[in-house]
Amino acid sequence: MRQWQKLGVSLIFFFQVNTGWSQSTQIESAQFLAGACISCHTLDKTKTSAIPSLAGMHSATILSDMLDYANGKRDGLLMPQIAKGYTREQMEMIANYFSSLDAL
Amino acid sequence: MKRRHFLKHALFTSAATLGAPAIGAKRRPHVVVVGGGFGGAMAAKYLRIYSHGQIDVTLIEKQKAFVSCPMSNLVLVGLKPLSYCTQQYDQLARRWGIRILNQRATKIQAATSRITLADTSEISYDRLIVSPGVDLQWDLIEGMDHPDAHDVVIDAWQNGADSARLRDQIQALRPGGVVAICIPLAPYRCPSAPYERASLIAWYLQKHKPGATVHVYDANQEITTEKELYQRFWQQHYKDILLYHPQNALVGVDIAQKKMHFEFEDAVADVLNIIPPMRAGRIAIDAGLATANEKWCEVDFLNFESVAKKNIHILGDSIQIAPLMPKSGHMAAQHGRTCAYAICHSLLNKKAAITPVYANTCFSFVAQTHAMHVASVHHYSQESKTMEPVKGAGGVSAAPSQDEVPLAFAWAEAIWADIFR
Repeated sequence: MRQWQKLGVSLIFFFQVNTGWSQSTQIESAQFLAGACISCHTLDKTKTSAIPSLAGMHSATILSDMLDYANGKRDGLLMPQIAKGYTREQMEMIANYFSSLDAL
Repeated sequence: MKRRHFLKHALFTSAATLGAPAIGAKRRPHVVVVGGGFGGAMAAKYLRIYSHGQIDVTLIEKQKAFVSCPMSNLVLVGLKPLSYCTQQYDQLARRWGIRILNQRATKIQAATSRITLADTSEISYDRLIVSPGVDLQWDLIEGMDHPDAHDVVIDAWQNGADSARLRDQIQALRPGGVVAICIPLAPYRCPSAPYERASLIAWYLQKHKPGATVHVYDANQEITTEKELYQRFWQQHYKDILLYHPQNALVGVDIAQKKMHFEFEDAVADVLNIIPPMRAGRIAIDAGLATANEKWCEVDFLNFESVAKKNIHILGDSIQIAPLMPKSGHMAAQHGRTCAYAICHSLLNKKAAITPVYANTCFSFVAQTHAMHVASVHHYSQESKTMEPVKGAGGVSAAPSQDEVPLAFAWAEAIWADIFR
């Protein structure tokens, strides 16, 4: 028990020293951009959902669907309104991100 | 003693779930999140994801479980059990290595980068995220200091358990009884929710309580969102059941007589669902973060940092919103993800490559079988330094429809999964 208390005291020290961190963590822009889609298009393909999961879908399919929604070539209850908010470049990043995910 | 006990506990937790070698290793940045709602819980999870576990995250939440406000109007009329809206916080601990403290945070000590908890223990942070929701301003309604006030009046606007209490009141309504809903001046949490609630209660009364009515007293000039859609549906389906009274701000309530006092008239009801005026969560107000009219917290929309205090970030309903940005759970979750993205870059000494773009969709049920939505897409404007709605995007349903019912459920289940799984 005393050992844990010692560690606890050390932890106070650690929590107080504020040094710089150098990490090699990659933070993906496309993952961040596509995050907004995941709030409706679940990544969990094991569940049936009225809004399809995009994980593992071909990037060309996602991109052409997004463009068709944005250009009024395809009807939908929601996606025409959402797709118009994205640039082609953003759509490509999003499409590539989802296609890179393994279909669960 | 308490403090030492806490730190000991903290070390146990982090050693167990984060696999953290505490001594000898380089210390990892530590972010503390206050409030585990749509904004805070989302930020906590995505800090772990975007940092690949290189940032330690502590989530402080006083409630034992998360109960979603979106979809809770279905609970009020018996269409869903409260359990449908409920998620357990231990999912975030198990799956994502987030340290969960089931406590109330009492004070932010910005000068020393510490936060005080209800048990007087303290936690230090490198960055603090404050996502406390709203503070309901009951003191602005005369008579709400009555000792029985909160047994009679139920807001069901921030606490899931209240949805079950309000449901019980509605189910116990006498034949020909009256339900009153009082709506405060905008901005308030979830613009569409009072009108969704009125619609669903009207649907319930029509089915189960012949002769009963629901009266909506709105402090606003008119219905604040999806006005034509609501008006049309009410006219077609709830003509003599749902009665809408615009420009009626509640000023007081007589608890013993269940009487509401408005500026020019009084009214009685059997069920008083009063949604009071609101402002940023109390802990944000007390810390001096509410820089806009002492009600809402102004933030930098690139990282949600307070304009008043460095290293403190505020999310969700507590912020002074950007143009046409609703105070919604969906929006709070996007705040949380954006904030996590920005904090990861900052703490890990990286530069963010893109600015935020995100959508908001609020589904509303107008009957068991019919739902509709309002959607918008928001992007960051370098010129105005705020989030702006993308021109030409967004919109509302053409009409409430059966087709949107499964979409509404799919949305809820997807966003809960996004936050907790």
